[in-house]
Amino acid sequence: VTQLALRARPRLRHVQLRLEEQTVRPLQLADDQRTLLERAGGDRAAITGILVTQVALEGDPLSTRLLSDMGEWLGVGIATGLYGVSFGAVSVAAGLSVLQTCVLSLVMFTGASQFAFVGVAAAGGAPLSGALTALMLGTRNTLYGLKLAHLLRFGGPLRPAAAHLVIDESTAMSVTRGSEEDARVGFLSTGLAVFVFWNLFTFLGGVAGNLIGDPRTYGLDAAVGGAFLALLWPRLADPRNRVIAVVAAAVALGVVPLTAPGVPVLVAGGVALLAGVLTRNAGDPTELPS
Amino acid sequence: MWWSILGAGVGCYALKLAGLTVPPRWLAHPRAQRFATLVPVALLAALIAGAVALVWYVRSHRAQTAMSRRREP
Repeated sequence: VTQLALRARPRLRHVQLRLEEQTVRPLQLADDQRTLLERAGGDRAAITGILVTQVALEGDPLSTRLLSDMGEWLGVGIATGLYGVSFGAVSVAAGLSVLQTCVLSLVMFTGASQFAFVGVAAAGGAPLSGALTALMLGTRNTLYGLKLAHLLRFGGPLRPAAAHLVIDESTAMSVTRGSEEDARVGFLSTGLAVFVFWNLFTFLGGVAGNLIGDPRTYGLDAAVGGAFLALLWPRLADPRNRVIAVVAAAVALGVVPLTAPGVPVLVAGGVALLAGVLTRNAGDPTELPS
Repeated sequence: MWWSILGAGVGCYALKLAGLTVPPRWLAHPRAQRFATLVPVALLAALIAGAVALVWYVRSHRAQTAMSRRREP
């Protein structure tokens, strides 16, 4: 598994490319790469996951870093993917088919918007209200993209593909990196790992949801609130965001008796737009997931 | 339902692509920045409030049903 995973990771390809460059000029071979290449008999193609694991166990810093990086990406992918089970089950319980649930995960691929969409459907709201809520929540990915654009510098055909992976997790795993190469690798690896596991677990959750019945029995409905809270929490560090959050929650709950299901959340979005027009000082442009 | 799913899905993708593609100055305007920051905060807070209220309602409703069932001989 390690071997397969390592081979699939761009990170190793990056190391291999660097090794290829430097076998031509062996004197300039960086110290941290020498051990790995020597153990592979000087052949970069012979660097396998098993070899990296062995060399890491012997205490080679580069191999250890490779493994820990990979663990981090897979860890984020699996942890986020597991939420997909809860999404699949909640979505099916909300009345969507397994196919519709899977298409949401494949095409929309941004968890909070998906949860919001099926949440509105579960409450009996019009699909259009759900779509509008999902789109409004999706605006934060535009902000992430702006931050990532000059960090990653994706051009050509890679950009439309990479755009699909602009989500909270991949952004968080790339903005903290030092170099452009590390940021790219962190972004693509995390994004791909989350994409694979999120869609896989969505399908499993959807099928399981059909079999096990009401997800509320298992407390999966509470997981939805948890997913939103995890996104909101870091944003509450800003005092103005705290005020907006309290006002928006109060307004949303206040208009529940007066409006159709799904509309209260849109009204809360309206509160934010109003606050954006009325307030003066600029928001924190560096706001990013942590 | 299908149109909403596909429309929202493609729309969300367009929002992601826009972030990577448009010149930063388009969204450098302070008001656009404020919208993009405040709207998710407000929506998330409203969604959490809704989710908590729903869970609380379901749980209390279930507890009441259980209580009334227990009272019956």
